[in-house]
Formats: sequence, C-alpha cells, structure tokens
Amino acid sequence: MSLEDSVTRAAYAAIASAVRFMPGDVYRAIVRAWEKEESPIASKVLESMIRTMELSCGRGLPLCQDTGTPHFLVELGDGFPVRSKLYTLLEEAVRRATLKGLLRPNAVDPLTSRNTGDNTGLGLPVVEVELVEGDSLRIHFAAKGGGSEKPSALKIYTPTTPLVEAAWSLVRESLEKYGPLACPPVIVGVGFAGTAAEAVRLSRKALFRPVGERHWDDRIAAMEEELLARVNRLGLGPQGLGGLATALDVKIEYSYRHTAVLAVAVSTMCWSARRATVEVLPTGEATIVSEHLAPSNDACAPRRISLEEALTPITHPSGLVLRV
Amino acid sequence: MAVYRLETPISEGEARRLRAGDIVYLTGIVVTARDKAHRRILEYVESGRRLPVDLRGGVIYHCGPHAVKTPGGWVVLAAGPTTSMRMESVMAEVLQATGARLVIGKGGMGSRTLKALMKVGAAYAVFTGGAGSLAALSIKRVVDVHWLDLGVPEALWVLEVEDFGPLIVTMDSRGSSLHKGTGTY
Repeated sequence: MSLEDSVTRAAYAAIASAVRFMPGDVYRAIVRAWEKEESPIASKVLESMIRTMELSCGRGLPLCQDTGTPHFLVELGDGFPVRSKLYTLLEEAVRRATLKGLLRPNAVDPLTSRNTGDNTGLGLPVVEVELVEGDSLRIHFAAKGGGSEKPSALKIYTPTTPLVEAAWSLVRESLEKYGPLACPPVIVGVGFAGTAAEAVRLSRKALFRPVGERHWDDRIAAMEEELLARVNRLGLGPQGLGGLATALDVKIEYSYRHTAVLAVAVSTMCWSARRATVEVLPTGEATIVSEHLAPSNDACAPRRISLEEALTPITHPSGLVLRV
Repeated sequence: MAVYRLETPISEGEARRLRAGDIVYLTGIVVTARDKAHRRILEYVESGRRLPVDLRGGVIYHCGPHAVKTPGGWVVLAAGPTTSMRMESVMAEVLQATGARLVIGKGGMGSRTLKALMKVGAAYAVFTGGAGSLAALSIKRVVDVHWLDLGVPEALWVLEVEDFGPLIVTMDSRGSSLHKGTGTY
C-alpha cells in the first residue's frame, strides 16, 4: 500500500470510528450527567442517549442520521512526505465513506440545493491544515451536525469589557435563543482574538479538545470552569426540556489581539460529538489515538481501537450485515 | 406523566388526550418530511393533487433518515429527528391540509403550530435528538419512499415502526408547551 493509500485509509477509519463509536470522553460525560440529573424528563432523554451510544457500539450503526459537515483539522509534520495531495485524499475518504453508508449525503449546491450525493463539493469537506514539527501526520475528524450551527455567534466587544463577561453575554444570548436546536447538552467553544475570522476559527478548534481536558493556560482553564457552571445554571437541560445538563463542557481558545479589538466567537457541538484522531507515520503505519466506546467482553467500554475494529461491519437490526 | 402505547391511525380523541409531559411509544406508520417536503405537500394540496400517502390520522416525523439502498431494498441506518423550527412557517397549514394527528421532531415549535394543534386536535412530541440508531432499531421496514428527487434526507419516507419511543409530548391540544427558548428560523 502506498503512503497515499495509507492516508486515505486512516482518514476513512477516523470517519468510521467517529460516526459509530462515541469518543470515550463524551460517553463518560453523558453517563455522569444522567447520574446527576433530577428531572424525570431529562433523565429519560439522557437514557435514550446512553442507549443510542451502546446500540451503535454493539452493532456498528451510525449514531445519528445527521452525519453533519465533515470537518478535518490536520497537523502536518515537516517530515511527512504527502503535502498538497492531502486535500484530494481526504475528499476521497469522505466520498467512499458516503458510498459505504457511513455518512449521509448532506452536501448541496447553495444555488440549486441539488445534493451532490457524496458529501463533496466546492469547499467540502472542510480541511484546515496546521504545520507542525516532526515527521507524522495527525488527522482530527469531526462530524458536526447541522443543528449545532444555529447557535454560532460573533461579536466585536469594547476591549474594556472583562473577557469572562464578554464571553458570557454572547454564550448566554446564543444558547437562550438557539440552544435547544443544537441537541443539548452541547459542548460550547469560545474563541477570543483580534479579528473576526480568527475568533470563529478558534471557537471551532476548541470543540476538538476532549471533554474535561482544561486549557494549558490556567487563567483560561479557570474561565472555562466558570462559564461551564454558569451555562448549567441556565436550566435549558437535555434537548432544551429543562434540567441540569445544558453543556458537557466549555472550551476556550485564544490568540493575542489588536489593542482596540476584542472579537469573541461562539460555536457549539451537539451532545453527539462525533470525532476521532488518527496518526500516520511516514512508513504508512497508522493508529487511532482517540478513545472510543467499543465492545469489551459482553459490554461496551471506552478504549483505544485498532484500524480494523474501526472498519467493523454494520449489523442492521434486520439482520443484514453491511461491510464498510 | 402518563405513558401511552399508540397505534396508527390515531383518532382525534387519542390525540386530544395527550398532555405535555406524557410519554408515547408508537406502533404503525410514520412519514418523514423536512422543509422541502412540507412545501411540496402544500403545493400538492393547493393544486388539488392527491398526496402519495394518506396522512389522515397519521404521523409526520421531522427526520431526514440516513438510508442506503441494498439489493434487498432500502435500509434505514439512523433516523433521529431534525430541528422542527425550520418547518414552523408551514406546519399549521400542513396539519390542516393533511389531517395528521401527531408531529414528531426536536427542539419544539412556535405559537402558530401550537394554535393549529389546538384547532385540529393534534400533538407534538420530541424524540431525543441524536438518538439515530435507537430510532433505527424500532423501524421494522421501509414501506415506501416518495419524492427522492428532493434528495435522500428530504424525501418522504414511509416507515413501519414498532414501539418507537420514548416520545415525549411537549405541545398538546390544550395549548400547553414545554418549550421556552426555541428561537426563530
């Protein structure tokens, strides 16, 4: 297998694991929310979420019908030989995953609304590349559901506004207006920057960081915890039907800003935060480095999975087995 | 919080008995429809054309299934709900025109729909958003699919379900709604 084939196969495996085997951090966070929840309706909703994750783990079924907008965040090492060809390879992985039934065809021409049928098209999949030191290639994949775009927000604040208050006013406004449409408990991403575009980019990048993992900068970490506590006092709850769990986590990323500009952006991820990370070495050797809810003995438990396991066939409830 | 096991077709009496907070498990036929299908339903009705499926006493499910075509026919892999608010501007007319008794979706709907539910005698229930494989488990068969020209997610899927739920009734025919911040589309 050529290195290019290995990259496509690894990206394909990232898609196959993300959309079927829930990231371990998300599974644990939903179970914790269910343990704490007091309202009977909210508990019922969280119970359905847990059953969904376990069912998908056991049968290899896609977790959610809206497999979203395919989004790749790529860390490309200096010494990794595949460069500009990456875009084509990732597109190929998305196309194959759609044809194999892992992704629902969601991509449409904005002028005609015609569905391209394979999730590709101008600017799709979304691919962001970061150049990093080292020889390896890391591909982070996320399937971001359509509903989770609705609470997205951007605002330019006066720099004298305290950071935490600027973030809170925007987060509260967008969640109160649109939170229920994004399938809460959501993950909230916040970006602080000196330009609008950079704030939005950072707010989306923030969503890739696992639930519970705090920012390296202690000041930001404290702000994440403060905002999370405030969000969960809003009372929107699972699916917006009231309850304790409105967000599973709040993630912030920041960059230095222009002295006169404080740009704040908010992005959200649905509770079904389907993501996966694969690493490819120049030798072609590839591993899935994220943890996923996967069959362990007779139950499901979060653990590392192999590329082969990521390609487990779909066992449909009718008994039909579909190879992926 | 009563628990009901309903079968389609649903009578007006059954629909009017449902209260916000009740739980329903549904057996029978559900028909999926999203934005484009709602608009086409109204076009059909306005031009006097017969709909490809009879929705009287029926269930409209705001859902774009993830389905694949196999040699044995269509198979639904995941079928959780989509955001209902996108249909708010036409839901009242669609309820009036079709005679459907239950709408299933996520996120809740607005005051126009609530009024229509009271008028026609119908209810709105949510199925947990993102619970796609759980929904697929209760789909026994794809009975039919119409309007595939709209694309797989937007087509009108006629699905036979068994014990589909838990569906949480959040808007009822007495004008009660559990939704506060559903936003506007």
